[in-house]
Amino acid sequence: MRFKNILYLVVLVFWGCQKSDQNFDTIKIVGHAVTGLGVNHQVFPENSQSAISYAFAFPDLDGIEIDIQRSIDGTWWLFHDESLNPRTNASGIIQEKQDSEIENIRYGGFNGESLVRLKEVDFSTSIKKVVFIEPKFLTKSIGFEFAEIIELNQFLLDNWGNYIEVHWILNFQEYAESASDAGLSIYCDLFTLSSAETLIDDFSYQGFFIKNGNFSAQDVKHLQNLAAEVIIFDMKSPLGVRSALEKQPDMILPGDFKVAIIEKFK
Amino acid sequence: MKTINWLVTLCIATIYLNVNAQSMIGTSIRYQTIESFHVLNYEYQFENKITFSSDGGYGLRTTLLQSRPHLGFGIGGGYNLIPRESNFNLSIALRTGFSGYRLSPTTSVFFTEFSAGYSFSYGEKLKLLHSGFMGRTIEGAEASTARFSYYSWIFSIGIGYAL
Repeated sequence: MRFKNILYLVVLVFWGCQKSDQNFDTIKIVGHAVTGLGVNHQVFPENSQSAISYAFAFPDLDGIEIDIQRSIDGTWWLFHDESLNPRTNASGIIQEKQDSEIENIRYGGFNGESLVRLKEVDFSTSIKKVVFIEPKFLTKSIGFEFAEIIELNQFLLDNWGNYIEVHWILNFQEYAESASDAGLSIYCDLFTLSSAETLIDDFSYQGFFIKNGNFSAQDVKHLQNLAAEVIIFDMKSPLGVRSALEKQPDMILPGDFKVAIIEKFK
Repeated sequence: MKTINWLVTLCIATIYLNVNAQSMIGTSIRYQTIESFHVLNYEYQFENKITFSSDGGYGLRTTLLQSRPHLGFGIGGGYNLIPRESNFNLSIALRTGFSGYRLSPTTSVFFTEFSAGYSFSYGEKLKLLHSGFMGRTIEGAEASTARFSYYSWIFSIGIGYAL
């Protein structure tokens, strides 16, 4: 009985260590909120300047995704959550704060990072990496006009066009037409397969972010056949990353980018 | 003649340290900023005051779940604050550690840690071990010249056996 158990364990370990027969070389890894979201061993806060510099130091990371929110003063700040609490030492939401207040906000943790304006982010260490930018909570942003996004896009192209490739995650379809008219490269979250064709034909979306658990490999293939790029997100464990890679998407947005790099090249 | 003097001094010191010394081996789970580790510890304490420690282990996630060996080792020293008769041992301690693993075919990452903290043990022969450290970690990648320094911490719990 004991021998059987040991044999079972050995087989399990060998099975876990076996090299993948699938090739994931063309799948790009994009850091969710820069280096990951909800990661246990995260060294820099999400969407911070230090996280961006850190992420760009890894040649196997193909890009980053950042989230921006608009202050009362109309400035775009990098931040993921709706509420400033509990990730920072402040409470409330960005949309109700002035720039002078946001400047004094610090992320939790020993390093005491401050929040950063999109226009002040230093992308100079990037070598043509992909940068997805998601403007969030637009309905709460008083006085917001889409021309601001077009102006931001132009600012990024003028200042960082040689360093980064900018794409926008636009989950507000009312702005999609203006975005594609202005030549923005736009993506959105996709919840049902049936809505994909409309989003591509009517709104010129170039690709979709899909949850790993909600779509199969066949669904991914179907979307790619519609000429859409597919980015899978919502995976934290190595097994989750592995299952996402096996669906052969164009990109993955893992919880922890180092976990994903290891799985990709295993 | 000088060499002989040194050797004699060294022998006397070794005998002295061994007479008044106690060794301990142990095993711990260590939760750190960069990853959780399973480590084996060896401690050498003399005069019940000064402790030298060394440890070696592996990162649980990378090594066990991802089959990518993440090996680490460290050395440190401490000063015991509790009188020798007690089964309690509370030390203030310094530690430095190094670990690394291969991230991809072209990139290896490595971490160098410097930290200060406390180390606690309780028990006569079989001991309960706990330590906590805070300090800085310098992280580098083989494929990049960039180095990143950040605050880091260690929280460890385990068991030991006095030899």
